[in-house]
Amino acid sequence: MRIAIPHGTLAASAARLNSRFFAAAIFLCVLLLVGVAASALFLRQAMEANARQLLAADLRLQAALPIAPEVRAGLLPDAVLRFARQHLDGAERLFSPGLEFSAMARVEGTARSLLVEVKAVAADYPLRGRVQLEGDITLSAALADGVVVEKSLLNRLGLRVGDVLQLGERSFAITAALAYEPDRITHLFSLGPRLLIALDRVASTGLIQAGSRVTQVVSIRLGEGEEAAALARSIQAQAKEAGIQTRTPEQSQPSVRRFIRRFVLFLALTALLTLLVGGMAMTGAMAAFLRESRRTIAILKLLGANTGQMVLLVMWSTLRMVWAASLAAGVLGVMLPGLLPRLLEGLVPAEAHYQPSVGLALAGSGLGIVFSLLCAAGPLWWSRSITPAQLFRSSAWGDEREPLGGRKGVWLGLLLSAVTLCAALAIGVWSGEAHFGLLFVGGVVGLLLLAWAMVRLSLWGMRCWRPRRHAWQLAMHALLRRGEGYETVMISLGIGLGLVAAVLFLEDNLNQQLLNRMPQRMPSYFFIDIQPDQLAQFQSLAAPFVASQPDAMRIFPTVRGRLLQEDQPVAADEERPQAWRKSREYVLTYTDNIPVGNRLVAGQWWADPTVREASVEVEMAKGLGLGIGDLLSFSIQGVTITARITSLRAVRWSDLGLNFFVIFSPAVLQDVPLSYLASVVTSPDQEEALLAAISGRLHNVSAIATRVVLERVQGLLQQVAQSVRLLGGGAVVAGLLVLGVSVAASRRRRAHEMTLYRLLGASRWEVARIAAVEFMLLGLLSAAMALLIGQAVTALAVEGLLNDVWGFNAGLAAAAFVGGTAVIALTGWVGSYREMGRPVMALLRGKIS
Amino acid sequence: MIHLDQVSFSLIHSGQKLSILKNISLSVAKGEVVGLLGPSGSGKSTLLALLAGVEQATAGVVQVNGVRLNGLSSDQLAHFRRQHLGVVFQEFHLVPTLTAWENVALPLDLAGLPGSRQRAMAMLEQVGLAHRANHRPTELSGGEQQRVAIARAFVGCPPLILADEPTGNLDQNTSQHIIDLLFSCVAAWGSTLFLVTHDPQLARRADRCLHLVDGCLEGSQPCG
Repeated sequence: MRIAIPHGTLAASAARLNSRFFAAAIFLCVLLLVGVAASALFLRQAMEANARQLLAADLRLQAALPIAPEVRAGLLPDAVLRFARQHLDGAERLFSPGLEFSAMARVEGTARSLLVEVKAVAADYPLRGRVQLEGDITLSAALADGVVVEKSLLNRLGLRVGDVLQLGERSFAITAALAYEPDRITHLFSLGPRLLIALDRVASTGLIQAGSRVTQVVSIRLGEGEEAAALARSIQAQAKEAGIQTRTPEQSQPSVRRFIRRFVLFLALTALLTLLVGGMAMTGAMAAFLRESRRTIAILKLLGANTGQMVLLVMWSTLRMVWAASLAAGVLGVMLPGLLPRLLEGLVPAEAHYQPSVGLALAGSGLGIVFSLLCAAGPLWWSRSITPAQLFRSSAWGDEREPLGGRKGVWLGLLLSAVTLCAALAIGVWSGEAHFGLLFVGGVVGLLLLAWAMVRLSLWGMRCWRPRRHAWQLAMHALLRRGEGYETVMISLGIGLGLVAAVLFLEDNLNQQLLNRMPQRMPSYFFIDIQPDQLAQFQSLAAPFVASQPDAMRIFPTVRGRLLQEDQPVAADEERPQAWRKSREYVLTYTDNIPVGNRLVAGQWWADPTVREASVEVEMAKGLGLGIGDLLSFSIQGVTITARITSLRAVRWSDLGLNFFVIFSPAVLQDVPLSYLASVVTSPDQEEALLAAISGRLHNVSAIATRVVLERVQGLLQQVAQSVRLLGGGAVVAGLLVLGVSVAASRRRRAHEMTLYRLLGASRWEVARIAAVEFMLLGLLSAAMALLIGQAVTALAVEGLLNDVWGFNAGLAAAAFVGGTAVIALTGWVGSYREMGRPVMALLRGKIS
Repeated sequence: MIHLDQVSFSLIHSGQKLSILKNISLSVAKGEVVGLLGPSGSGKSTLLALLAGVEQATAGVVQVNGVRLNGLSSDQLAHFRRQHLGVVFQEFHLVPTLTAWENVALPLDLAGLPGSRQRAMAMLEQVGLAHRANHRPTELSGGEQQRVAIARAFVGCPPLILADEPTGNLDQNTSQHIIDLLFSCVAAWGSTLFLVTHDPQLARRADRCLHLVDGCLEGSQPCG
């Protein structure tokens, strides 16, 4: 490309001053955006490419229906299998039945036991994909002689392949360790390690009892050319009626897909926030670059350069500054999912092979270049005001006002924010999460307004402050001068640091809430599937271990039921949470009195237990549009029961106690076969003994350790937090770049000032102190803003979204404040260190102007 | 060459109207050398800026080499400067990031003319700086920088040269050399020279001198 003006005309000043900031900002923005996009693409590709494997079949039918007593001996998924044979029978179709449930695995002769996710499979499992075992053994051989378990089970119970494991009433040899299970992603939120067992051996364990939580599964392999989606559609109505869910590879694991989609969307929106801050850095760098070049621009205009030539020159100079950084970031960005596998661990199948996309790298680089040119457009528009007439007045160059200060900066900030927010909204709408996008947009607008108001307030406060110390006076004046453009610096640093602080505070709040308070408030174990005839034995076995506190052991009779509306099960569109709420199975209970931790918000609790009444959790009632006086129907093992809603309850779910969405009066569940659910609080040192006592005698009773659940939740949260922290770190770096730009832009004047102080008798140490105070003030203000933003976001998230009590950790807040201040002060001070040591003679000789 | 008719220039500063030039009328013939004298703040630089088309008169007509500058767009004025004008400043105003020959070639590059390097080198040869062609302005003395500026002003053979105190930043010896160079170039190219100066030595070399006091032209008289 040839333009009329030598490239070096502006490029050299760019190289000298701001190109490194500009390139760094664009590198950061493109890297994060492409990295997030590549991760999203990888997740989607992995889901699509492995969809059949993820289902281990072409079509899957599943239902948590009760297993008929007469079939329990054979333990086949009778209802679902019958349905499949009735509606889907075909010469080329293969049906593979299976059962999935939780159970306690024990080590014989010891107190060691562990909740496992049992998958009982037929000999032809899997119909698609392949199970990989460690060692030289096939799945069918392994299941013929015993059970196959995940390695984590071996580690946690201290077992090895070949050892014996007790499952229910039976002992099984562990014949192999599971290396890869095609439908592994179904266990993203599982509570225990996987255990594979042959379907025909389940009956002998005695684990399946009336009311046991068992999912019946029938995997189907279709004939050549048959389409799973069309087939699923053809039986949709009948399946709904029978309470059976159909899953095609495309629909497999909607909750996992939803989690991944939201995870990616969240990352994309956080990356956009970084882009916003990075955009400020780039615009600032561009403005400073053009200001540095304004004398040259005036000369060129005087010599006859027209608008087109000037635009071309600036755009070309911009292109020269960013192309390499954009390209490098694009390439590195598409490699990120491969370089940071931990971020995607558990979200994609282990077998999924990441293939970096050249197209995405180029698109990302192109986007970076276009974004840079957009960032250059604002300052370029401003550069129209540079006229050659200024060459005739040397005094005109004394005006060192920040080109993006004042109203220009505000307008440009608004423009950048508007573009970013529109992009956020578009991404939200495109992902089918418009409300999430709107929430983000609202949040960012709120953040920007808050940050702006705080900056104005703190600057106003500083103007009223009259420090006595000379160094503080000089530093404060430097900070207040419009030329420094510190308003943008404070806003961008405040937002960037605020984001990181919010992640830290949120993690801390959840940790405090979930783990530290657990021993005092939360049950140690939940015991499920206690049969009526086992209740007395369970109570006597548990009694020695129950903590001496009120409600340390709570027992509720429970039964599972599906919500009905107009006597029909509600549509099972799992992509919609509302519909999901309607279609899901509920654990139902009855009780005479309102349970501890529940609060009536409407209606009256039943006075007469013989009247058929229901109490519903208030949020569920809102979601379903139910109110006092409405009738509520459930299908329980094929029988419909109905009761009138007479009260609504507020439930504090975060206590992790035994809580129910729907509670009936005793009369409603009078004749229903029930099992019992218990929660027990014990001291941490008694936990193992309690578990051993119960699982050693009541083999069918499963124990869920609250600590394990919380660790799982915490693990997932940490995975998300890790990603957000990474992106938040990007936003901080972008904020520091804005600071770097500002320092570089004021370098000349700073050098002049510092040298002048030294000429007038200040020592180098004193000059360094003035600069240190200036950047420390800047750091203090920005960190204070970040702290407030972080705490506000955390309080909103904890109180508003998690419905919990927000806690303030003074130590962490102080550490974040001091750390943030130190990073900012040090960056600014080091950035202007060179100016402190300029020889005084340079000023006298006019080399500094 | 230059024709000004009842030209005024004013601007608004802090809400108050400041009249910089008041009803200036003058004519300069082709090939004439005119000196503009006056105390600081009298409006000399503004008059030069009007002639260069970088400021627009608030009243009256400004016509240079047959081109009426009033009402032209910024791009049309840029085109006018490219075709008709060379400017020499007291502060040289060279692009610091370009070498001497690149600075000289700049007007030719902007006009899209071929052979800019050869013509720039030839021009530097004429001002005696061929050996410094690859040096940047910061590596040149004040006198050398002004010689590069003169070479840049003349390289496009413009019919009008505007000079704003071209010796203001130079010592007496160097000033003399620069004046000699400027006038020899004017003579060689047959250009019209309109120069602003405080330097009586320089003013003496002009064909006639104009005196500007408080924005008003006080008449035209032979210099010296």
